[in-house]
Amino acid sequence: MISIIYVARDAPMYLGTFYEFSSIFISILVLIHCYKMRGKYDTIKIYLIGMIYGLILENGGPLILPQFGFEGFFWENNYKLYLFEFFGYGIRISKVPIATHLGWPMVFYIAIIFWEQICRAFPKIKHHTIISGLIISSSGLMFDLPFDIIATRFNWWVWNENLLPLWFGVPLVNYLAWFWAVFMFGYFWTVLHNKKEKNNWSESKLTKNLAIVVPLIWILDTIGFVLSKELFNLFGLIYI
Amino acid sequence: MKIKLLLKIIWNNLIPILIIYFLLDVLISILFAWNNTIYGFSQFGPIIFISLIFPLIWIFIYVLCRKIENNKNKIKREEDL
Repeated sequence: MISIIYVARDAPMYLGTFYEFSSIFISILVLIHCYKMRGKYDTIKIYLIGMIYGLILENGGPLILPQFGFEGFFWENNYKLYLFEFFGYGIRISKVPIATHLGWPMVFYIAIIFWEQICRAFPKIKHHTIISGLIISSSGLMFDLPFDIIATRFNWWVWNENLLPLWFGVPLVNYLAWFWAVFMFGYFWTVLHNKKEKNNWSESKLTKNLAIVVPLIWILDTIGFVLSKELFNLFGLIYI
Repeated sequence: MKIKLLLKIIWNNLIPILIIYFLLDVLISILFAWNNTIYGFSQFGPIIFISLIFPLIWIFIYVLCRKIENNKNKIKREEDL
């Protein structure tokens, strides 16, 4: 399925501005939906904690630290709105655009709604934390499997030219990163919600505990990603 | 009144509707790029298939689980009566 010719890191985007602003609009719409339907604490858990978690992870993608072997996985250089650079003015502290940052909690919200609907039909699943994590993760992947093909073709993000473009131009590391990021978040989400039910935690305590475990989720996610990347690299599926 | 009701239905089912929106968004983007020599698609068939199949699987599972939940609630209500 190798099918794409690599382009320059700052190659012009096709429909990029449309993607950027429609993504921000939909994210805000989903944020309002989350707040109205689920209240303050779920909005904090998904939209604040989830976004900070995603912000740290996403910035690992373009990170270049040759002394530590980081060559950068992808770049998103041509957007209008970054933290805190707007239309080319200001200081860019995050190499990832705001549209992408806002996309993370939206994906978490969609994935959690998917899992909750499955749990309402099959309540026993709720107590199987690994299966729950896999369901949440599968929702994220179902969203990303088609979307990243388009994003790659239209230069919404540009991949490191050393990565093997396995899935219609998208490297496998993208899906490994997605899997581990959403799986770990989903796993800890279900673990903590089960503990809340068992120990009668308040929503406030649950929210605080989720915020506290974010560094642990991030570390476990990184370990899982690096190990699986190395494993697939043994089969020649990561680099050209 | 009908518009208000429609908006309420959309709001209450926003997430599955968003999935359909993403599906259409992806398909329309592919159509826009159809004849573009830089961004054009050389593997149209498989890409359109993938763009359709994964969001449809999501919606199918979601709707199926909702139907199962409704059936369970209906049976429970009948038992309670």
